[in-house]
Amino acid sequence: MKKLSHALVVLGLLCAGSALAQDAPAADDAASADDAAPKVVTYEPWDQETLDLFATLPVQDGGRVKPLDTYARFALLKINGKWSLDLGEEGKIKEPVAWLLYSLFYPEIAADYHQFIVDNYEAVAAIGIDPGDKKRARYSYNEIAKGAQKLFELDNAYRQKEQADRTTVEQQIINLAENFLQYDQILHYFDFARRTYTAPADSAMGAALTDRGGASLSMLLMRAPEVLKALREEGTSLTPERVNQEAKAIAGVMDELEFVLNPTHGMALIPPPEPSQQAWMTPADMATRAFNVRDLDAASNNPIEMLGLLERLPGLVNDRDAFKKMAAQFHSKVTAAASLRGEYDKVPLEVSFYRMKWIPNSQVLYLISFFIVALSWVFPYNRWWRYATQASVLVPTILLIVGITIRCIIRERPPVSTLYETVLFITACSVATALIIEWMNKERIVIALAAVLGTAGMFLANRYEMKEGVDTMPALIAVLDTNFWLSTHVTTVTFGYAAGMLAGAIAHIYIIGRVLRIRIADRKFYQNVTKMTYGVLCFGLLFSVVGTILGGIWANDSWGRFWGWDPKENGALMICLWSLCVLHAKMGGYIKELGINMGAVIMAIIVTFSWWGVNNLGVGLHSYGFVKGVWFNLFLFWGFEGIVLLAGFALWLMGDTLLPKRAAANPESGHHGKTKKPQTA
Amino acid sequence: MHILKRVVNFLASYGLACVLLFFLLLLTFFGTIEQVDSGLYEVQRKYFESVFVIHEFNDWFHLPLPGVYLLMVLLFINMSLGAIVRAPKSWTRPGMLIAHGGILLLLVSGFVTYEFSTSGHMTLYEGESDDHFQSYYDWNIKIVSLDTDPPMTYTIPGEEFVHMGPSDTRTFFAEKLPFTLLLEGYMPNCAPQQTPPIMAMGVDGVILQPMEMQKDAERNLAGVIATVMERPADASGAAASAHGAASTMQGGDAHVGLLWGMAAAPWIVTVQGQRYAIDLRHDRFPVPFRITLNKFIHQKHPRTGMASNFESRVTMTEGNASRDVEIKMNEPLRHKGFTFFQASFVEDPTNPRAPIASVFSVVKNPADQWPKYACYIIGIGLTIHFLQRLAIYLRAQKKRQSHEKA
Repeated sequence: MKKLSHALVVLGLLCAGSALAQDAPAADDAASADDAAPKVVTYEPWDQETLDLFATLPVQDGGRVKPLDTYARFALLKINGKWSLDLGEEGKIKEPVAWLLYSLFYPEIAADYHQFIVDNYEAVAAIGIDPGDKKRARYSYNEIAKGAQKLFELDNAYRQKEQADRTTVEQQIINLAENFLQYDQILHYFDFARRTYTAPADSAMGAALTDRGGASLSMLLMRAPEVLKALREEGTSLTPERVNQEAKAIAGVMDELEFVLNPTHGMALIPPPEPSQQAWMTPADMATRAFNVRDLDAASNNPIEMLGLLERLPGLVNDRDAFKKMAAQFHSKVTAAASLRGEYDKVPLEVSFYRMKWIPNSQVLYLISFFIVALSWVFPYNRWWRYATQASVLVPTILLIVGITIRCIIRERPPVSTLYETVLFITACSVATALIIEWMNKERIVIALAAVLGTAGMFLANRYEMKEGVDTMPALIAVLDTNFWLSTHVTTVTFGYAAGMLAGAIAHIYIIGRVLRIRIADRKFYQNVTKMTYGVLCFGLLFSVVGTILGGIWANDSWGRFWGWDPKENGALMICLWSLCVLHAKMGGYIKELGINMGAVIMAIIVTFSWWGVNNLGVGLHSYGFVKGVWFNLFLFWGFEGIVLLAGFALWLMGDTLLPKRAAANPESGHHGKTKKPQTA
Repeated sequence: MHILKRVVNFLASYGLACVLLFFLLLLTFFGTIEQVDSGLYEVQRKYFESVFVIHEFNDWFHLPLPGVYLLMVLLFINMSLGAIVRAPKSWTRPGMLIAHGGILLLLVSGFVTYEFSTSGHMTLYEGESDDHFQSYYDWNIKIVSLDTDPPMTYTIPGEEFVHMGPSDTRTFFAEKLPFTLLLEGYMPNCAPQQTPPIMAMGVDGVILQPMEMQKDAERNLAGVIATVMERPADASGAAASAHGAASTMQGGDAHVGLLWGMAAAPWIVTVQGQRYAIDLRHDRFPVPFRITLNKFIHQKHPRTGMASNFESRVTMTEGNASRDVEIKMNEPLRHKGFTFFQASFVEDPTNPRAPIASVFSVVKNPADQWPKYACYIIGIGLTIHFLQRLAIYLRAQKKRQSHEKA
């Protein structure tokens, strides 16, 4: 059904004289054989081998060499908001690289995929498209194209505004324009390979290209420097008319190339032959090199052979075996060149990292652990349930730690260098610390919390990744590109955040437990909870203080001052100051159990302000990771924490009457840890 | 004696520590939020370098608070006295004493940095060299007699005129100068503007137009209207070098000029046949060695506009000796108490082929490395303390569990 409907669409396009009708391969010797291939476009699922070939193909994007799989993954995520594409009745494209291949090689079909996610109908209405009755919907390239002119007008106008001043709809229009452009480049990437190049026959360029009725791009780029060189050698002997004629022919070819090669800027698939050149090449770069009259000798270095293989792919798409063979040849050439440059070794690992789904799987398992923990409360004294609970938290934590480690290996960096990575790291650290506490005191209090923190942390990581839709292992700006400081300051201070969040989370057990009168007669239980809160606060203080000062030392080495009152620095300082305040208040006897726990809740508020809030102030040297809409979620969180604090305050006003002061009041629970079985309320 | 003990106990108390820490937290928070509207420089002066501050929540609710400077001093006293009062009881917890020692060192280094450090920048194009750096914010007015041998230089420090209001005037004179200099209409941020000839305003039709203060204070360009009033010959001996003294000197010609922070050249004025250059400029500080920029390297991540590396290759010349040094991001040059950082660069965005200047941030700070030592001390102290506490906790836990088993 799927094949048929797509075939019909293509047939329609063919009849309408679509550009695809010229889907002939390049007209060189090897390609001429492909001319005989049937002109019927099939639309079969890609076999795994083909997908693997393209997934592991290196591409330079965002300042680093990454697998094409990663490129496709984040392009699809950005456009579609998901890592798969639902085609309705026609099924689902599960692999991002498969989506990329359909888009590259069947552009006329892919242009009708409903994939541009628009969260607010006002954004599409603004560009003159009827949004229908859905507030949030996905639109196809062809649908958006109808309002493209208006889209880019609005995009241009809204970009004049500061990001923080844009409305949600304005930002969505900007995002839509960006996604539309990126996808336009993908759809038209192989346009250069779907045509042949000619020049007037009475020119030298024409003579070089028309001997076989038009040349492929690789042939053109191979011959153009020779033509230019010959013309230069002839030099002054040329008549003005001839000069004019030749110039016109060359300019014509160059204009055509500029138009047709523009979309190829999006994907740099060809490693440059010169080891000193960092930037990988696109067909457009190769054309620039071939026509650079100042240095025509450099054109001889153009990796024409790779381009020749690449340009033949669209013409072979209906013969999947031949297509796969050609793709394998291209893959082998590119990976060999990339390996020589030392830029390929991490590519397969990155592909397997995403395919193994270490981090998404840990999210699912944390969620399961949450239910296992809940069930374990039904059988509180069963040893096996205890083991099962611990294992259910331990397994996703191990997956998460393995995932973080693989990321470190791929990027050769410490675990934290982006906002997304702070979420993973803080989740892993807080859950691991909770597990260690559980292992030490076997109270089965924090293990439940670990499941909640793991689930919440991974949910946050997933939301952030989905919302941002950008590579989470990006190249770093110069000042951050230092493994020494990333591994010392950033890791330490992030660990401090993790401890602050964990302390805050444990404190919730105390306050909510007392409000709901859970195990209210068990004073020991609440004492233990407070001990844990206090211990984690102290532990967090060590990391926060050392991390903050290390940050100062880094700043002293990079910006010339130890402390500059930058918002991010201030956030870290506030965590230290509040920890110190709580600890000194406890030492001075001004606060007791309830006070310490309320202090820890306030700590969680401060940590979230420092972690997410200051990034969105839009000032300071650390103002990276601006996330639209983060304030709403922060205020939601702070509102909830405010309610918890109010509840704590109410407990304080009511005095300690709800909690027996002496264990004697509860002879079962006893003093000095003599309890054998904790009492429930 | 009893009162003294009570005062000492109060100053050393945990209660005072809590209050001070809380206020520090509050001011840090307010100072962070206000940076969005006022910029770092203003906030730093208002909250973090002040003794008192009034935080304006809105037009009608203003809250007076102690400034961070005062809080830091009180915290220092609190910690020092706390250590003295409680030290005998704290020998069993050496980690805490060590950590507090580290924090005291940190506070002292902050004080020394604030009071005794000097900072600015040195901006060089390839091939250029300099042995001075200039302040980002502080201004002075230099008067140089061009026709004397050697040229005589007079400096009016910024603190003498930067606090002047738009309608204030101040007059400056020196014993050997044949004129007095009247300054008026000081503007902390302004730009020269041509006015239509028919308006006959300003100096040769140019006025200084006040501009809104920039959040990045180093972008502010000060300006002032200067009037050189020639002194009668018999008054020259009578005038003492009195900075800032108001003058009612009369007689002689008056020359009016505009001094502006970004003027391409000093204002040259001729008085009694002698030429004088008068210039409003940022403070400049000498460096006991010369830095020559040989090459500036500015790399970007491939196919992006994102910087991946800034690096300056310089030659440091001191007397007859010279050596080549690389100054990179996170790898400054430290020599003779001066530190040179690769801070930024200046390029012409309209011309990619134009030369790029390398900007070094230069700091002379006696307490440069003290925070590092403080960090080691605090880290060691806290680690000892928390390991000690953990050991105690684990022992108690073990004991409790063995009781439970029993």
